[in-house]
Amino acid sequence: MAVQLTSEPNAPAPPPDPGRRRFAVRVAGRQLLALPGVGWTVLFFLAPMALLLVYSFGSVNLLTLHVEFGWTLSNYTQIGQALYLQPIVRSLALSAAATLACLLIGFPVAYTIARASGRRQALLLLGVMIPFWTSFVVRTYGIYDVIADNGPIYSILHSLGIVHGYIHVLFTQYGVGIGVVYTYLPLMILPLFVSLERIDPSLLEAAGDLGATSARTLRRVILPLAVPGIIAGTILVAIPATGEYVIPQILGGDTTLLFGNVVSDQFEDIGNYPAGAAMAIALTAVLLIVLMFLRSRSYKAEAAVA
Amino acid sequence: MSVSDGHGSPRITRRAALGRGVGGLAAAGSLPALLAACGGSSGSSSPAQSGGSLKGTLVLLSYPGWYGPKEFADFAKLHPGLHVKSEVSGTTGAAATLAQIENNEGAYDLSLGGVPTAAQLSQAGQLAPLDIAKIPNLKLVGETFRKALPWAIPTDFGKTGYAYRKDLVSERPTSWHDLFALAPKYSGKITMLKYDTDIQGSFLKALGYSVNTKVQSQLQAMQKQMLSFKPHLQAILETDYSKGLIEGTVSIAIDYDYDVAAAQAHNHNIVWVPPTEGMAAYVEGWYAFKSSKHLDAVWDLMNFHLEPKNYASFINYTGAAYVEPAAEKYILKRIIDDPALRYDKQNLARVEFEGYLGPEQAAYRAKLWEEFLDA
Repeated sequence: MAVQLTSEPNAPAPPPDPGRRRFAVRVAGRQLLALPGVGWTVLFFLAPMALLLVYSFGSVNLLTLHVEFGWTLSNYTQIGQALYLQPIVRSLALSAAATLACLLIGFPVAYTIARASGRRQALLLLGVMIPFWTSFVVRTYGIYDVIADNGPIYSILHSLGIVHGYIHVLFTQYGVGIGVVYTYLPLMILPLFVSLERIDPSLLEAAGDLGATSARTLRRVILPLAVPGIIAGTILVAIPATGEYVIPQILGGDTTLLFGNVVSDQFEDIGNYPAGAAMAIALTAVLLIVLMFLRSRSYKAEAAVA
Repeated sequence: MSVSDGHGSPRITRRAALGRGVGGLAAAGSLPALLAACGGSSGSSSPAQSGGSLKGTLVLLSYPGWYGPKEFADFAKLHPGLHVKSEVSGTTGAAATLAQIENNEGAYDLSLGGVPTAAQLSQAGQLAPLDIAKIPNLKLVGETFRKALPWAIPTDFGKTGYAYRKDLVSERPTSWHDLFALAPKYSGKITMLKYDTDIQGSFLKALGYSVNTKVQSQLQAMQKQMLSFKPHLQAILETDYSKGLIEGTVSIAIDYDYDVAAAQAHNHNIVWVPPTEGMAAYVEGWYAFKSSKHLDAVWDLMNFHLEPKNYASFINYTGAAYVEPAAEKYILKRIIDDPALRYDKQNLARVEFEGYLGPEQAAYRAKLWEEFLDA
């Protein structure tokens, strides 16, 4: 709508443009539709994060557990202690290894689904998503039984004569790794599938016609075009895996302390909310930096694909 | 009156672990339910009952599924119009429970908790002193427990010892030092429960120190002993303490008395060891909040709970170690005869209750615990 900066007393106002008004109403309507989502995010994500940030500069009376708000940095400086740095390093290493494993396992799966068609593709996708129909904790306990010392994997390997001695996976870092990969694998497969499905089959045919081997086609055509999916999958897996504390508790037997467990202990067992908040904020900040880096790479990759 | 459990799905608590103590082998809570079905009905001969004069809603903060279906229903028969609502304390940690109370001041009339929580709340001025005249059944509770938990009516207690599989362990250990000596031989076949005060207390007892010591050198010795023991651990368990023991993937488990008693029902090769050096123990009970507007009803409910028949019904349901010998004639024989659970003066003599050590000591011990986990 035109804005009239000056008005002449006797000049008639221009008639409203009905088309523009309808457009403005439609835009406003669309914005209104976003309100519940925005409100939800503000209320249950931004507000708690803001609260955590405020808490992180406070101090706690460990007798009454009353938090006194202030501007102390001591909660942040203590994160530098070896006691907390080691769990951070372990968490990041676990996250990196689990993400890489998810990528290596997930890529062929996603490619197979992307190349399938019709009902077969739908069935394969369903297979990937079915684990999400079960509660996360129940799934983790399911893995617990599978990798237990006398569980089905051990029994099968033993009966086939592949394993003669004793293998112990549950309550080890390998057990935690298996649990994390199993839990987050679908989050890697789905974005990869979206990227791979978009690849025009004629590009692959062209590569073949030009004499490229399968390996070269994969390296020079498929992988570059799948980069947005790889980045999206990496973000979806690496971020929650870094703060993971339930899987290490159930499958790791708590013999290895991860940063998620340290944060949880601060809130639940010690009652030092400001320290727990500072740790959570620090971890979020690290992840945010990683996220921003990956997003910038993703934008560049998408632009290149376009 | 009706009983409603609180909301949300709580994390695994020490109490909830009782129901899950038999791991995946039995559905959570099925054993207590069975015991409750076998147990006598809770009577309603509360001497302090005030008929139907008490009205309103009593809110009890407690563990999930910790009371049988008749616990409050029978109380309701005495007090039509009085509603007891059992809210769930949502987490394992004592600090989180305290925070829940702090953040919801006035929301609860009474709560279940141990010495550290009650003492901390008392020091913070939140608890109402017990009106003993209105809880005459309190005198039926063993004096040891009343002294250990003066802010509350004691309801149950637990000891930390260890258990072993006699078919997998050729030796017959009886002490903490026996366990330490056997650790290298059974390395990787030993588990430990994850509850800092109980484990630290056990290692202190093993070294001949008080569970509640504040002496730096003794705490350092404890930490050294714990760190040297850790490499032999298969796991430090938040729940399902005895699952491996039942299945045979674990030979020795540092565990609670009640959990071992429940596990023995599934595997008769499991042997409970109350170590000769002594045991760290917790006692817990109901305490009332100063902010409650229904304190008379709270005292009446407490007295009702300690009525021998009612108390026996509670013990038969939970399978916990009992604090009221007067209720023995109504308690299941299985519990009374269980060496881990019975009211045994010899056992009690070995027990030292965990106290509240103050915020600085609590923080220091928490840090030692984190260092132990991180090692």
